Amino acid sequence: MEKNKKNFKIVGKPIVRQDGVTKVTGKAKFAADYNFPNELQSVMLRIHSSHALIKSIDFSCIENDSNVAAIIDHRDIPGDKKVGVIKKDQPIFCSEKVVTPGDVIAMIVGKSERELIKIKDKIKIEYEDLPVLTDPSKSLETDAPLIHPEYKSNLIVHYPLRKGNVDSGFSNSEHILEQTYTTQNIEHAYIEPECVTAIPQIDNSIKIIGSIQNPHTTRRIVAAVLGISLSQVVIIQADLGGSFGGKDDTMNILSARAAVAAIKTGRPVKIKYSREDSILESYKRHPYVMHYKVGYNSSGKITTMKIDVTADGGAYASMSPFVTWRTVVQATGPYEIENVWTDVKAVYTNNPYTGAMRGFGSPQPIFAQESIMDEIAERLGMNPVEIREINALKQNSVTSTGQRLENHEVTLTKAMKTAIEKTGFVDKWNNYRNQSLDKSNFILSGEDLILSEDKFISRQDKLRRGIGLSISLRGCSLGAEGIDAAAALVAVQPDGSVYLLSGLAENGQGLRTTYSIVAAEILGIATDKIIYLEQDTSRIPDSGPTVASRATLMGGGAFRNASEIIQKRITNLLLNEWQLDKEAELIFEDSMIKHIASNKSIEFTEACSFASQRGINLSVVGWYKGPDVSWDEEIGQGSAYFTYVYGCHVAEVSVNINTGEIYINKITAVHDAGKIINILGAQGQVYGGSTQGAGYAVWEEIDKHNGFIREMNFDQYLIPTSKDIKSIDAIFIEGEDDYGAWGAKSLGEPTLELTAGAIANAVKNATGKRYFNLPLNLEEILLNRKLRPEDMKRGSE
Amino acid sequence: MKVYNPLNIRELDNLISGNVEKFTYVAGSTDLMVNENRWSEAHNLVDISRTDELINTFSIDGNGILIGSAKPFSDIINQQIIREKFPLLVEACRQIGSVQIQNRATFGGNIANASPAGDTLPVLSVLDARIYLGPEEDGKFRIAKVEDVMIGPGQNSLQNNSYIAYIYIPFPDSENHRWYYRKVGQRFALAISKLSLALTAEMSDKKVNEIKICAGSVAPQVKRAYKTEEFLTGKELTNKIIDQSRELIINEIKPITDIRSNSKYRSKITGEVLREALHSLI
Repeated sequence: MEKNKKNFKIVGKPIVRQDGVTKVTGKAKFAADYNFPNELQSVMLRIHSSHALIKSIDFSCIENDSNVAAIIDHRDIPGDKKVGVIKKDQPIFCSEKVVTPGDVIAMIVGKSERELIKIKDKIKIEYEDLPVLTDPSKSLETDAPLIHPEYKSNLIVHYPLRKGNVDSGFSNSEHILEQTYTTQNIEHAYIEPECVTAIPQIDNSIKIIGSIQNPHTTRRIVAAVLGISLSQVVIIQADLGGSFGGKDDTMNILSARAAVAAIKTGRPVKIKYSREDSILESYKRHPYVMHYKVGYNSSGKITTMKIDVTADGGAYASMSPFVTWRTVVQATGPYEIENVWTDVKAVYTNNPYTGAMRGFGSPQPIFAQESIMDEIAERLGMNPVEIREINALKQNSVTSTGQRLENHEVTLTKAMKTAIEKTGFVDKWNNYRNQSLDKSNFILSGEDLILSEDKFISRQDKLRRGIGLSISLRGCSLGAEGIDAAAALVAVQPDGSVYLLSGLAENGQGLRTTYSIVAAEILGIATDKIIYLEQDTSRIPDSGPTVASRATLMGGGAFRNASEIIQKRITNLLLNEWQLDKEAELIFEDSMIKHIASNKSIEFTEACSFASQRGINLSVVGWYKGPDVSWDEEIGQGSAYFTYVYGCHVAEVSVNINTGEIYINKITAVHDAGKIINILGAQGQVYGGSTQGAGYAVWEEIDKHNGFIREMNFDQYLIPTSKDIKSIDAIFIEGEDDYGAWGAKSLGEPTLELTAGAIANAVKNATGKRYFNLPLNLEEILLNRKLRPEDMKRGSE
Repeated sequence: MKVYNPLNIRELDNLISGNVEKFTYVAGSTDLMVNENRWSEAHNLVDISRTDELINTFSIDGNGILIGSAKPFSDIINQQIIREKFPLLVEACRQIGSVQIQNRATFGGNIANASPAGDTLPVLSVLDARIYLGPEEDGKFRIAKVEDVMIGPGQNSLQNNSYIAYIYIPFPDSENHRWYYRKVGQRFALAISKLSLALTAEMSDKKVNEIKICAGSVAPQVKRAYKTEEFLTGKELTNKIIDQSRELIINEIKPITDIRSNSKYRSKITGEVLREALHSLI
């Protein structure tokens, strides 16, 4: 780890993001801002059903309408008619069946979207409704309707994990606790709805520009659907207005639809979704039902865990196999447990499909684990810190997948210690707990309401304060999900200015700035000498998707590699020119290159000009490949990820026990993301992630009735505003690691995954009452009862 | 769609008098774009945000204050006299939507829009506000109460292109005037209410001389809780009386279950918030 100790000039400093000014001044160009001559607009054709057989479609009454340039359906697709990352179960256009309300049967294109919407209803579609399956716990029953009959089961995937012996583990445990937790569907709520334009090219290739998270993935899907080669598809990413994992599958499919229509009409075709279209068709975060059985001793040591998780995959497999794999690896939380038996299943239903969303299979089990850890502590008369200190993973601990944590610094307890000292956790926790245990003013038991009926609760008493914490480990990057490598282009020009481009795409997280810092640090130049190129699949190798909080780790490694190659080439040139020893070290800093001993120096710009004259190539595509990982599918054992990050959130809340309102006073977020490259970017991740995590805890829920989503816009789907969380304290501890750029690892998802667990524990501390279902909205807090579709009568407004 | 911009009431009245077409009035237009589908049926849009009297009127007499219906909330709550005389109104308006919404939205719009969750309606109700409806007939505006204009979810009683011209709010007539306002929504900004409760009272120490209570979002219409008011009038506020009034108001409201909450929760918190409110009076 010695090589990571460096006197950094730029790394770790606050650097304003490159796209900041254009975004806040409205100059940034988003997908919908691109217009092309002769462009056609699109409207989707859907039916009002969650599950139906399509009998016939009659387009005849609109075929001759002058507003219609073309009608596109499955018959127009020359290549793959169905797509999917593991299971190819999702049609670009449905032809036989509709399996969820977002499904699209055909697309009409024409000059005016408004006119197309008007005539769309003229199309006659005959269909037969099929039985609808909405409860994932019934998906595997023998009489459940099959969503995709070709698979002969509604099981998408099942991951077992077997470690030690849970039977003897439970029989030797002094105590056993069993609980069931549920979490809700979540919408990504990116501010920019989906938009893409496909432009046919004269050489029969196709160019696509859109709000695309993973351009190379989109390229693969479009090429497969069109039946053409990868090189005939060029994907350009417009400035992205948020993604959070949400502009992957949906954008691949929309891009394919636009491409098919563009080929058919020979004109540019744009698909631009409204918020309602977006919420209707895009995938969500998986709802989980999680059953935990935990065996533990009076000492606080947890010996055994048996976990059963069912994830609602909705109508399509999408990323469920990867999302639930992370769950099986991390379901026991950051604890060292001898005996583990975990089953994680994802199943089909007719609900909106679920896929990748920031967190990716971790926010759900963290809520469950961290709730049950606090409950065990309570039963043993311990505080939340004590129980975790006993069980937390430490240096050289063995995880539930049998992986020894030895190749990096394990900072879990350090993160927790930092957070509890910063917040004065233990004293507060004890005080609030004693207050909530004073039952003279109100009643707490089982399903009963919080308030007593006969005592009046004064203003001071009704606002109860609470503090709670949660901790996690998180595997970095893809792990055993797939090949893990990334490319980075660093092209130094003769005047010392620099182009950068990576196959990993800016999703709004600030990746371009991060990469510029890595290159600038090594080349000893200022970041404003660097221009980041437009994201274009034809100019850079596929670097895998921009997911799994892997961009800083993998892309950072690739930029370090490319920059160091260039640095070496310049060094060799200068050592030769200055007639110095081949092993002599040159310093690249402050836009200068120096040899200290001989007092020789040259401006970086001059050195680049010199290299150009000497025919030295200073354009390099760097490469970074993650080390090998291993996985035994049968028993869920192996080195799941090549490295991990750790974190702790402490939430401080007030709960109004008259109304159920939760006020989030403070989130203290301590993260070990390894080396921090840009402190401003890192803080931004924490502020955004914690807020989104609080939304998951308290406000957000996509509720469905018979597969139909009720919250179709942001008046009903409530995400937190800046007023809802009073303050967030972001603290970084930089654990040592060898990977990537100086051990800079993952941060984006850890910031979100911990918050709900911490808030739920804080609410318990405040009220004395534990909640098992997210979100903790007003009705849940006060009545233990969610708004459910069966409650719905006609709305009042 | 035609859009008209009458610059004063005379132009407005000329436009609509004898005209058989249906006109739709907008002032702050905060619901216009977000409800595009609903408004696309409106062929004649009358933008009253530049109609002199409706936007500029803010006149005070000895008994109260007359406010143009198209005056944005921000303009109103930043007036010194409003802050002094109607802290209840200031409190309620500050909790509407967001500052951006408050800079555009108006009393006229809130009333005409006729949402049971309209946050100013319970306040105007307990303040005994009078709504001046135009056009003038025989030189006089028709005068109505809030509950006469807002008659059901999304339904107002404005017929034949009549419009809301002014809102008149009388000054509270006692030194012992007390008030309370509470909005419960799922989040702090930009949230439609699950409950809003407004209350004014005149007290002699702990004794209620007169009380007005109105809860929004818990019935199809905005209605005063007359039975609860009657029960409380003349009584000393003890814990027992407060608890009894809670039961009364729960029976008086008609909360529904909709996308924003369920009836059980709304009943429960209406009772609790009334307890909070009454407790704050003693």
